[in-house]
Amino acid sequence: MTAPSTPPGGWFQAPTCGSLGLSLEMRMRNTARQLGSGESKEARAWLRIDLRAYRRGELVYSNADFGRVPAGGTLAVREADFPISRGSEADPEDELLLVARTHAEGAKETFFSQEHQLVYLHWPSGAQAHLLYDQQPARPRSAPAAPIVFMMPKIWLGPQLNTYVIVCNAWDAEAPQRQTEPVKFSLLDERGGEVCAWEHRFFYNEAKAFDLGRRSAGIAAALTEPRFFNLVGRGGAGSFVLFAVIRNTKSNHFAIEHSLPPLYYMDGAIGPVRAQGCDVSLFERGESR
Amino acid sequence: MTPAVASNLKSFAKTHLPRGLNLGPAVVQLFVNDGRSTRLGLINFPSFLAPTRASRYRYALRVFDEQGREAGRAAVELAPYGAAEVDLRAVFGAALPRYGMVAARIHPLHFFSLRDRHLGRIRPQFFTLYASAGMDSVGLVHPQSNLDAAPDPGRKWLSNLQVDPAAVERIELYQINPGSAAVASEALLHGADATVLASRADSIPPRGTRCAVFDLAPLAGRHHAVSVGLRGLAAANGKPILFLHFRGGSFTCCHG
Repeated sequence: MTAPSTPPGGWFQAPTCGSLGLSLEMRMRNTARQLGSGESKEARAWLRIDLRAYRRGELVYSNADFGRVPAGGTLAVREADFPISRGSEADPEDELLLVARTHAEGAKETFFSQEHQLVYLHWPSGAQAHLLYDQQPARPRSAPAAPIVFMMPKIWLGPQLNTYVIVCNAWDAEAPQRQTEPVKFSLLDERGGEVCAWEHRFFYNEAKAFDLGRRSAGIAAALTEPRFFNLVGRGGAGSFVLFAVIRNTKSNHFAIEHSLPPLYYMDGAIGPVRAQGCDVSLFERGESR
Repeated sequence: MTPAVASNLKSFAKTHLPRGLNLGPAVVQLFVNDGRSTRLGLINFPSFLAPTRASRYRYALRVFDEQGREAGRAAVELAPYGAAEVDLRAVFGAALPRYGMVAARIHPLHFFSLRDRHLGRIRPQFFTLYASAGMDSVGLVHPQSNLDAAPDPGRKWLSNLQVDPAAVERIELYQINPGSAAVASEALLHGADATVLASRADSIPPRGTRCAVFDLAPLAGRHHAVSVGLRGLAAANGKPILFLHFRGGSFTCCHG
């Protein structure tokens, strides 16, 4: 399937969590916003939603005019409405990625700030969790892709507690294609000791749900009470979004939150940070170690 | 001095000052201690952003009760590449109020250190896990504001989060005031068409916290979605923390 070419605007990534038994509902919003500068922005008259779905980088659904969101309104997009699945051959950690591209009709601006809502539901228990986050600027195909650096001091594992890290990325790529650089993940204990590590070379437009209980098998299985860990990583070459899902495996209730990029932690130049930040091989060379 | 010169000087200073002179303000968040627990996930983040120049840091924690009275202080030291879970009840014991605001600020152990100065001003973001006893219900949020952030008392804010009254029977809304002056604020419950269904007005003391509860049970079947809003924000990005209580007694939480 070939997606229609569209000018850069905003895109909002929504990974499924089918491997966790959760259903996804996206609520695309079109609302007034006050920017960090203090400037107020009214809702756009209409927001057109160009919806695409990907499985391991392959475009499996595309509708350039999926729906329109009126000013102040909502367009609900339910995973259950799509005749697509993770695939019978799927890796247990594979997920589908929905990418909603937003276009403000009649507006001159190509990108605008807009928050949307994700709802994940576990039907058997009735548990649900909600997440708000901002759409990102859609990157033109020719844009250089920088590696990401991320820190997730929000991992809890225990006898009835597990954490899943949901990682997805969007890019203007038609055919499945692996990124040039893998993302390297390291699960660390409180002292910075490595519990487990792995790397994954993502397809452009791919979503994964990494099960940290499974990946840290020896450690997590031996715990008698909840214990805190930190997940760090760097690499890749796309526009990434990361969530942590903390779940009580007995009650099936869960929490979800997105990560914060380095610029939330610092206001210096990001270049040197991307060049060396979170590179596990550099840890031992730290002069203060 | 021209604006361009001032900007250049600011840029230069930003990445050349000793670390102790280039720290962002304390980051703040709600805590609860009423059978529910509050755990912070702290990290020596400069060491991950500048791994060849990693050094030791200390977090200074302060907790304030709902009236804004300081109830305790603690320090947590982190080695390079270290992180720490801080269970506030375990750290502050009986001194921890029923609910309130926690403030966390990061400091280098060596004030004049230049090791990671290229990071510029650093801000100690952390994550907060709220949990029921036994952790049957959990909620996870990132911070929204910092200590002494400027208030925005005239602002009308409407959350983009829509809640279904058929699933959620009660919203517990917490609003912290990280500033040094009281702020009048009205918490609102809106229908999907933005009509006001209920409101709770209050004055939040400096460093204080207020809680407003909206019962959604009567709205089930009549409204498919409701949202919360505020008239008057205690800080520019002072969005409330929402506990969503489901039928059956479980909860999750998120920022509004």
